[in-house]
Amino acid sequence: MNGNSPAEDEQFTQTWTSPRGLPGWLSVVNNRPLGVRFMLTALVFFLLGGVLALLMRIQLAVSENTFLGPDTYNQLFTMHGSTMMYLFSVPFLEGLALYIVPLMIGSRDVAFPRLTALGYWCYLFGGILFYVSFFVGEVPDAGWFAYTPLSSSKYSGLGLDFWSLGLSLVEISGIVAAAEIVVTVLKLRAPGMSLDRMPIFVWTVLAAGLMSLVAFTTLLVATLMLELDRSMGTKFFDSDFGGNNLLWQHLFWFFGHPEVYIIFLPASGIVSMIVGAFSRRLLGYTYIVVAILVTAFVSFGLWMHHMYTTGLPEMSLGFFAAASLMIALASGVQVFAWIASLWGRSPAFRPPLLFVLGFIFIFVIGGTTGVMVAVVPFDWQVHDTYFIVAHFHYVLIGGALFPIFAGMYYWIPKFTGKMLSPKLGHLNFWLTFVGFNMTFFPMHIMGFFGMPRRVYTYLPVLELDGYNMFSSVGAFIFASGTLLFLADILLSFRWGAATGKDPWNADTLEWSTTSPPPPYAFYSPPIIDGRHPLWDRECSEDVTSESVPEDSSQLAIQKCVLALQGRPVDWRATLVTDSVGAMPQAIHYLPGPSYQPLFVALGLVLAMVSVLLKVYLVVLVGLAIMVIALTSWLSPNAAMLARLKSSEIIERAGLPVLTHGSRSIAWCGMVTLLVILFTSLFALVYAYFYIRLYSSQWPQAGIEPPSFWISTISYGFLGLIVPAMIWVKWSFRRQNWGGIQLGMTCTHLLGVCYLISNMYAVIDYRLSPQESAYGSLYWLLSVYIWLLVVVGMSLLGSSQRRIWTEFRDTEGHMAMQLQIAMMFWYFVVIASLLIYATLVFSL
Amino acid sequence: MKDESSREKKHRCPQGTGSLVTSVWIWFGALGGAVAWFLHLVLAYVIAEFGCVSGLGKEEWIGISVIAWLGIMVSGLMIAGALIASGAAMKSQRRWSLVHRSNQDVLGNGQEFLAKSGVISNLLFGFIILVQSIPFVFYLHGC
Repeated sequence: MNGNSPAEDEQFTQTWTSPRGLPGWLSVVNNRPLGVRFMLTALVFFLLGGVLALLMRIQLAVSENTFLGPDTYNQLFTMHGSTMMYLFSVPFLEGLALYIVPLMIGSRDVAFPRLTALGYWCYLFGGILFYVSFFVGEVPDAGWFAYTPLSSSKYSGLGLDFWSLGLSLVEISGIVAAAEIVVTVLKLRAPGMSLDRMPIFVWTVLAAGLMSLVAFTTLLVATLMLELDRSMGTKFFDSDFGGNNLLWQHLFWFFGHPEVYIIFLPASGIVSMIVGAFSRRLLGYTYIVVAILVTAFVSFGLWMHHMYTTGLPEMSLGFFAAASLMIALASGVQVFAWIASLWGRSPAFRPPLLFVLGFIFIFVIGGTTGVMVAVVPFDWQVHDTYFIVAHFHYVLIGGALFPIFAGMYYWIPKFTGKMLSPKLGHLNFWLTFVGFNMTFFPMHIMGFFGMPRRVYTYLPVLELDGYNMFSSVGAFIFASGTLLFLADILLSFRWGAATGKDPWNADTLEWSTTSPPPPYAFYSPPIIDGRHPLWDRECSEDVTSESVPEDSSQLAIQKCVLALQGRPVDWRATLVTDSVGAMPQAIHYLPGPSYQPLFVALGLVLAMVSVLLKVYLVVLVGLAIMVIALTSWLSPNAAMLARLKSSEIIERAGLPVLTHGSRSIAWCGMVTLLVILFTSLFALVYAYFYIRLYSSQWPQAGIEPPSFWISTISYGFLGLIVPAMIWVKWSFRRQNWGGIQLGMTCTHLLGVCYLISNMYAVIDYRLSPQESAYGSLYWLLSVYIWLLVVVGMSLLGSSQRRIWTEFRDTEGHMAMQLQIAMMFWYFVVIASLLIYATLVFSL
Repeated sequence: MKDESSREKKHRCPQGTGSLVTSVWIWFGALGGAVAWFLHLVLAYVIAEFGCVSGLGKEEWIGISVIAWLGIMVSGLMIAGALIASGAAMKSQRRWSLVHRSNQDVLGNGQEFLAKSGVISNLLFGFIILVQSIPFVFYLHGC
């Protein structure tokens, strides 16, 4: 460590350390403690979901068993599936990514620390909301997929409200974590870590993050529509009023199929890291990356294979069958790459590798049955039988749980500084592997012999008692493996062998830090010269200014990095690089501990619970808390901004701290927000056209079309915002502050005119959202734009206030704020045009 | 002191600007096949479901249903798009390979990697589009 005095080093460490005690616990924003929380919470939910599974297996062990009644059984399989899919697999892998990815890419933290905290609180509260349903006797019972009309208020009780509201919180958590990871991977990599040098695990979480932005948003729209049907009486999914039940299935499975790849891809990334470390090579890097990206895209094109039996046109079925077969190509590439990497080597068969080998065996079986069920006639035979249960457990447990165990054995030494027991690890593996296959392999046969899914019992005449008993015994053996794993972790704290930085002699950057890593992760950003930084021994964290040659871009970068060595001491910062070549672009200010994420989450929870209890006035209180906390969050302190602008690190590093454009992390955050908003827009427009397609008359029920002129005038106000924004941009370039204010004021006025005129148009239309699906859609699309306009006016208003009252600079923070506000408004204009065309011209 | 500070200034950090940030052409080469596949998915789905349900499957032209014609045309266009993207990626790969060989100071090889992976992925997407189009051939006279 050079350049800093011991007092400065102490201050640097303190800057990155969270406060102790409860205040620290509630306000922490560092990625590693939050990553651990995600993982631990997910493990708790995993255990709960596992207990539910064991209860189901007890019930099914013998025919005509009376251990559980049918209603209880329905609740158990709903909660088991929901727990595993929403509360365990994705959050666990997100937590792992939040912990490991910044270390792997040489960053001190993730891009938006407070967003990570918000994600955790939403996840925790959402999960609690799910399980509170047990205590109030209103457990969801419509399956983890909640098909309508079974999940409508006509056929389901309050349990489904717990489900949809709890799930909404978990979806928000998933979306924010995804945005976090995407921006972190693209913009915070260490200098020199160009795309071709990124570890495979980082590629997989990047792909999963991008997928999550689209998939989770679609589900959020769907659950919102379901909750509106249940609590507000809208008719999106009510076929008696022109709604469509299959719409729910389309929206759900458009999320549901990519979801399994959102789980599988990071798990496959874990496998790639372990195979690479243990065999000292990973063959086919480029092909693996291509396979990851192809999987990410093609997974969105398969959703209808969950709907083969719903009476869709045969041409659609054929198309989606072909697509479902094609995804096996990409998965196959990865499997062959792993096998080729291991072939001919003599890796040590330690627990991480054992679980990887178990994964390959199990996942390939699951993938084979997947190709079978991709074939439409075969699926018609086995749909809703135990064959499908066997298939998805093979791909999900094989494809996710085994890699998770492998990853835990591999990375827990980094988290804790202690090795887990190899002997217990071996025992765990065999119990888990044997138990798993005992549980789920017989289900293939049970399915062929006609045992349906989601039944609480079966008749003796089916002669499946033997298979079911075998399966149930296997489940308990499987569970014992998991318990052994937990025991191993607990024992390791006391008796685990202490480990150094790199017990596996692995190649990636996380193994260059101490175990566990210091709060700042990297004293100075490393410089990467190859794909295997530790094996190449060219990681230059120890470089000094005297040791480098003159006149090369590498020298310039090393100077840049040296400026960040142990600095800044009194605020948190990490390096921003460009997304392809990882050349330094800026220094990113990272906020310290904060209660704002907690308050935003609490406001959201209060609003959700109020909807549940149907105390709608309190919803407003919850939303108010959320808005106040968000406003505080998004309003940076002027004194802090001034301090950042004058920081000595700008001169030393030659990089800006407050910037705009693609160098600004906030700009990147806005781009991810736009992805989310576009997805929500397309989901809503799709819902409109889907319901229209299956309606014999449009608008439905003899409703008159909306007034062309009133609609055109009101949406026309939004169209005029484009020239206003262009005027603002032009004025900003010329530092014409009066012009900027004029443009912004015009935008506000146009927004207000739109809101007044469009609200008048909607009220004048006298269309109830509760009398027809058309009415529900019309209201939903209109309110969507109203909300966007209000948010846009808030964003712009914040910039306008700062220009009036504080500083005026054409670089840095002011430019970034204006840029972000304008990007948002351009989206609002595009969205309003699309919705206008949909509502007025699609009749 | 003065010499040191001027040497420091000479070695100010490069700020990762346009010369190293990829062009639209490179991104087209990297992702063009994926975009073509996505467009094919959306259009094929709309044609197959919306077209069939709305009765367009019963309309024929030269003995083949309009739906099938639309499906085949869209597939042809998107396969062509994927192949063009592959060509763009190949061209980028050759260009960046030359740049990398002549400029050893360039850290990493992200652009060439993007181009090379673009060639592979675009060809793969083109193949996937082709396979996904096969069902249209089996439904030439209705849905």
